[in-house]
Amino acid sequence: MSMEYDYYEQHIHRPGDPIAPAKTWWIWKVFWILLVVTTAEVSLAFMNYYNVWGADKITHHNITKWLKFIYIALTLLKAGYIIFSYMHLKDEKVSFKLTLGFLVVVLTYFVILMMNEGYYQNTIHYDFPVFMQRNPEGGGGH
Amino acid sequence: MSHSATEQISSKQAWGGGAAPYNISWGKMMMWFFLVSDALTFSALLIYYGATRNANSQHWPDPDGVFNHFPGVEGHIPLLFVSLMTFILIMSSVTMVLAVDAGHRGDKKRVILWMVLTIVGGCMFLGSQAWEWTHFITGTPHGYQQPDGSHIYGATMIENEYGAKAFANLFFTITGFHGSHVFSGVLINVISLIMVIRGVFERRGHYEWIEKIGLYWHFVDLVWVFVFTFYYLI
Repeated sequence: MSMEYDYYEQHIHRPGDPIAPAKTWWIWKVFWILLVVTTAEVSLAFMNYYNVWGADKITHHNITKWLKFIYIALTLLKAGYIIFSYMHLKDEKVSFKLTLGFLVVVLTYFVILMMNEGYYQNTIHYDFPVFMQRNPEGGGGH
Repeated sequence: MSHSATEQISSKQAWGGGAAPYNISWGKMMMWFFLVSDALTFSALLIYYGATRNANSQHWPDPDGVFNHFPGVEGHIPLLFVSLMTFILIMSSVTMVLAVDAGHRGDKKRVILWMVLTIVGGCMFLGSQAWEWTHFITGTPHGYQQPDGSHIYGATMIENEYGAKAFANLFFTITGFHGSHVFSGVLINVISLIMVIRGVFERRGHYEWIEKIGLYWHFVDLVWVFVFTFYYLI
């Protein structure tokens, strides 16, 4: 059984060949999605900054916390549209998508690891005050 | 299995040149792999930002209270200027994808038009970033009074009026690294525009080069989407 490979061939367009009419509606569709999502993010941040919901301090703190998850979700949505639509990844083969997508697995692990490390570094200010006095401000302070 | 191992196959069928298992040209594939490695660099910077912020959350300034000016407008307007920068970059991404689309159809005039607009967008973004940096480095008139009575005005790599030193260090590092990507992107776009005008790709018969630099330009936009969220929104 011989293995079948695909052959990549560039379409050659010679001067004088007829130019196909532009079909750009999908570009503008993605543009409007990106714009609306960004506007939504900024509007939420504005409203939370001026606390339009009139929340007390603890509630405002919780809203700020939950908004972070919304921002991240909307950011990933925008990233997906840019990568799959504008960078044409949706037109590539599944094997190629998986090759690039493995990066996401590695990064997710790295994010969780480093966020935990950050929290731990914050707590050792209290757990080891004498040790931490060598550099009492850490990366903090003015 | 043993049957296929002894079978003679031509070099076109094996990975011996000419065969493309991913059905993508090698140039575009290598651009993707470069972008993956670049994404790792930016991820490392942004993840370090998150870890440092967690480690110094008591001193961390609220970005809305730091980047709260708009050119020519008095008073505090959080987020608006950086939203404008995001809009400029998204817009230049749209013009870039339009240039790639025009290149697909071999429409030289449209490629030139959209490439010029992309370069204009990139320059506008760089100008905005210069203004943002100037505002951040200059600081506020009242500054920050230290316990010994002296004042800190603005932010540098060694001190920061607004809060944690690491906030200023990481701001300069991350936005500077991104800005250098935009700058090199603009340079590459200018060189490519000259090549388009001189008819290099017309003679070659295809505009795949524009697709490759388009990938790079969209990646720069993609990074800004993440920088915008993690540095300014959260």
